[in-house]
Amino acid sequence: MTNLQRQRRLSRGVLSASLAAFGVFCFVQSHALVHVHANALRAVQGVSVPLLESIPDLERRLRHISNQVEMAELSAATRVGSKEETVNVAILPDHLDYDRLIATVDIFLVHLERRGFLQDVSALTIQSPRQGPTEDLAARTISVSYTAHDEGLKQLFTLIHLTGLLTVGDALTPDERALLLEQTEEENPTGVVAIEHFLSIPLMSYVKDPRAHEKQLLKSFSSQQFEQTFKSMLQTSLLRDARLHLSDTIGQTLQKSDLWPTPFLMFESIELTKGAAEGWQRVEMEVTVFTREKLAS
Amino acid sequence: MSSNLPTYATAANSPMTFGERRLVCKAGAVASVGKKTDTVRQPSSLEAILNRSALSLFLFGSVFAGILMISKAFLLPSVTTVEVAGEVRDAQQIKEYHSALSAQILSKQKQRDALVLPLSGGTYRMLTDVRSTQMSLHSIQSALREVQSSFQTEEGEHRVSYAFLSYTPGSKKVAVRGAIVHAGPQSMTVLAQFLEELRDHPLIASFDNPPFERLTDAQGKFYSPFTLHLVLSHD
Repeated sequence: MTNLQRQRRLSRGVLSASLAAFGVFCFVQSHALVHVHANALRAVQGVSVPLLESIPDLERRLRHISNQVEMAELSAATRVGSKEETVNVAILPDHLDYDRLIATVDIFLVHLERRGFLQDVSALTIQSPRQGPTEDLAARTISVSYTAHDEGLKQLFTLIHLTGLLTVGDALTPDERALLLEQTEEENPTGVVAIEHFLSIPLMSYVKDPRAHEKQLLKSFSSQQFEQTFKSMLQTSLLRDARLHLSDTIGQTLQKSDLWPTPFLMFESIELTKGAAEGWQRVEMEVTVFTREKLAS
Repeated sequence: MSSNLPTYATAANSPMTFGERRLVCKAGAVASVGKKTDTVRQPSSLEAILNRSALSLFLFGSVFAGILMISKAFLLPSVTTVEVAGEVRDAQQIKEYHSALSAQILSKQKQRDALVLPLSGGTYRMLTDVRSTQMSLHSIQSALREVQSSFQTEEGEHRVSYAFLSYTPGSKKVAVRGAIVHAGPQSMTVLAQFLEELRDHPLIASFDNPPFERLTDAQGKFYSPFTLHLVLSHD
């Protein structure tokens, strides 16, 4: 073999190797590109399609809620009267008004005693203030013991849950309020003003004539679904207990004595020891009353 | 004799179609040529394969990659993007837009709720919301009675007797003291069944088993005392 032949063979070999190497490189690139295609198509199927289905609903919801915010802002601007002042004076006062507190608890206990659900009520003891759940709150524990029937105990628990409630909205849980507002989004976004009005009704006014207030709200919503949700909420929420107990003599007594709205009370602990008769028990109860006080540390 | 002959020779003598015979002959020819080549140019066979396949490999690879690149640049975007809210978006951008919409809805809802409900965001609202989540004593008593009613004697007497109950709403804890009675020497078994039933109740999240023991009272009757510290599941 001559030199020239050898050189030709060598250069041919280099060329072939280069072509083959580039071909392999292109294959590797193709492999990556096929992956890119597959991932993109998978993303369309798995992400885009399901999200695209829900996006129009979300956009519509956002429009409705934005409108509701605008309407609520307008309505809030024209709201008359300061509920905050009432809370600061009667529900969470600066300093504990012992007269109001003792009178309120006494009305509850006497009311249940008269009905035969409670007996042997001990003296009330109020402990020194301690730090409450927030910096600006002080908490005091009120202790009392008595013998109670199951029904009396149930009613006392409910009455304590009703203390310190100012409006209809206060008697609803965050979930119940959210459910009502969600329904307005579906049914009639402008109905938010009617909901706002309903939630702002003083609880005692609502209790005096619940039907009128409920009808007023339902006028803004025509669907059966809203009516059903609303009525079911009225039956399961604390509003039912408020209608049941505060429309009674106890509500009237509280109002006549100028004790409504009452100080805010919350159950701290309760101990029941089985009594001699069926359905009766000895009860040791501790309730917390809150005031807006900053305690010296 | 014929069995030692190469395959093509045997096949050439056997009855077969024209196509088969031609293939066999070619195979024979290649085999014989191959033998010659192997003896003459053995070291350059790899080089020959490379020389013959390099161009094909290059052409196929580059054309295939080129088509895929063109597809990625022009075809794929047109297939995988959609116009949403006036902008053309791919899957990732659609996902981001969806998250942004959800976040905006939540924020607007909070704003609306604060406007709709008087005194939102303050200490008073915090206290009413905390109290509204407290489980009522009545619900706890009902749950305990419901379980108690599953364990009765034939005469209708309760086998589970509660003597003491303590409830702390803030910590969602209930302590119950009682005993299994009217169950004879089976009192420990009934206690185990009672605990099983209690554990299945939706209002009860957890509790530790009490010690299992069987005692006798002043009248010589068997009973199994228990003290339970229940954690409530209510949110």
